[in-house]
Amino acid sequence: MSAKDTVGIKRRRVAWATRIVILAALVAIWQFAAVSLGPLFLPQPLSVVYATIALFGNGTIEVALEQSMTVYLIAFGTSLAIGIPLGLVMGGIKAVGDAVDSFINLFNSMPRIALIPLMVAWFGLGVTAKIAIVILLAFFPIVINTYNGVLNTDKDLLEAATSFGASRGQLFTQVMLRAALSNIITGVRLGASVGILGVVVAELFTAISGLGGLIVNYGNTFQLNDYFVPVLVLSAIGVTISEGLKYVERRLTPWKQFQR
Amino acid sequence: MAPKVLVRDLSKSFPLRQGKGFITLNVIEDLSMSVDENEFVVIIGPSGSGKTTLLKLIDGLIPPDSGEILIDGTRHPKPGPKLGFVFQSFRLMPWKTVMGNVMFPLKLNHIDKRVASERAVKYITEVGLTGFENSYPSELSGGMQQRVGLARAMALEPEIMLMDEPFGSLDAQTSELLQVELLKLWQFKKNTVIFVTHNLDEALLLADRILLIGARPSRVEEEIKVPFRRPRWTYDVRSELEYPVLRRHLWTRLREMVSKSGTFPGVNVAPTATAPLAGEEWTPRLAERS
Repeated sequence: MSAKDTVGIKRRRVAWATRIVILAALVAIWQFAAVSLGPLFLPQPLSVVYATIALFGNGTIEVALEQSMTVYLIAFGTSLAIGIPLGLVMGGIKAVGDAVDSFINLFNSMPRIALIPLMVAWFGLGVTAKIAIVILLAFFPIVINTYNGVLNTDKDLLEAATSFGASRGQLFTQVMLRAALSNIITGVRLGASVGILGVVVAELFTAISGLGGLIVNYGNTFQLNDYFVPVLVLSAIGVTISEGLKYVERRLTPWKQFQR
Repeated sequence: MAPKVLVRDLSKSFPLRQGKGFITLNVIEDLSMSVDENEFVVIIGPSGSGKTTLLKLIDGLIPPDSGEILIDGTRHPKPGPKLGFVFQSFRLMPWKTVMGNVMFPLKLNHIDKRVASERAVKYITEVGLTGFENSYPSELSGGMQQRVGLARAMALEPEIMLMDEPFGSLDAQTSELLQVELLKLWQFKKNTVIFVTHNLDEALLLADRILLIGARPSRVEEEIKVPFRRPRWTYDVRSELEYPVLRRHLWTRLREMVSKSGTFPGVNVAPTATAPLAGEEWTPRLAERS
């Protein structure tokens, strides 16, 4: 085990070193491009750092962040609370799965951004409409992946469990649920990142607010130094969420570590 | 003494998709056999002869088309703790540790958790996996994984063990090692074993009686009592006088069956169907599950 750990640590160190080198290269390219294009087209990295300090200092980002995150967390939470159970029921009860599957696919293949005006017509321009838009985007990857996870349970494992006397209920709870776990997490991760996109889109299309709102305002007024701050904050949120979920996945599926 | 397992006139066919229609593939036809209590019976036959299907029928995983199976005189077996199944492909739950996998059937059968964990430890020890209780299957070699498969089936303390080519996917060395260990385990804890293989040496080493099953549609073609004295791990069975004679006989019979059976035996072409494809490999599938 210890040898394995050492190899792991070494690999992680190499990965981090590579990341830092790539980051430095990106900043250098940015700097070079900013200098050659001029501040009207692309601000220099350092100017963005100053803008970040200023915008955090006067509370602009904090207020916007709170608005965006409220919408995001409510919508994402709702998508999880409905999407996972629905996917499980669809996978567990064949009749339900067959019936609902076609509708889920219909909605999923629809360009759902096209439904935003409808959401605005129904829910107005406030927080409710924003939440609805984010759910519209985040919900489907969660249901679909959960459903597929349950559906694609290894038939051999189901047969083995049956041979040991498992009831239908036990097959579902003891085998299908566990087998579906990594697919469910994949769905959650997809839903989470599409959800972030949804928040920004919602804030552009409805009453301007939150980080998406700042992006529009700064962009339209050519305040590019400030414009980059909410963009970077959103990226940071996205990375944090997806890394967090990767951590959760590692904790929930410890056996995967050895499947190389 | 009434037989432990009695199979009478058993038939099983599967629909097989051919072009636009279906044809019926008769896998087993009018098969009869019986197994006594604490007997070690090895079923041997050409590949594709429905050996796995037969085990699944005896376990009650799939229903027969006709005929009957009696276990202790009771018809229609149901999968459960009375029968322990060991699969060729191990079929361990990848998300469970060795301990979790061995405890799994016990948990399914609502055996008290403390009793279950004691039993699991006991059988993990018996198959020689002490120290690996907390390992995941993916960390183990094939041979070790099948040891877990053995421990899992034995932990149910079944009266009948159904073993479907359990060592077939292991390398020769590992499989010989496990054959001997199985002999020992069985010697000290006699139960009824129905063991499927296509390995002649394995059959001769393990069996009290060998049932030779023909090509599709399968039935029992010949029954051979294996004369070697037990315990068999204490001497070299292969140097016994009868060994090469029996082995040659079995080999000749098997070869006859394969050559006689043609390319696609057991197929009845339904009126709507097109002709079967020659040489197509057919594997029995799990019965439709919703």
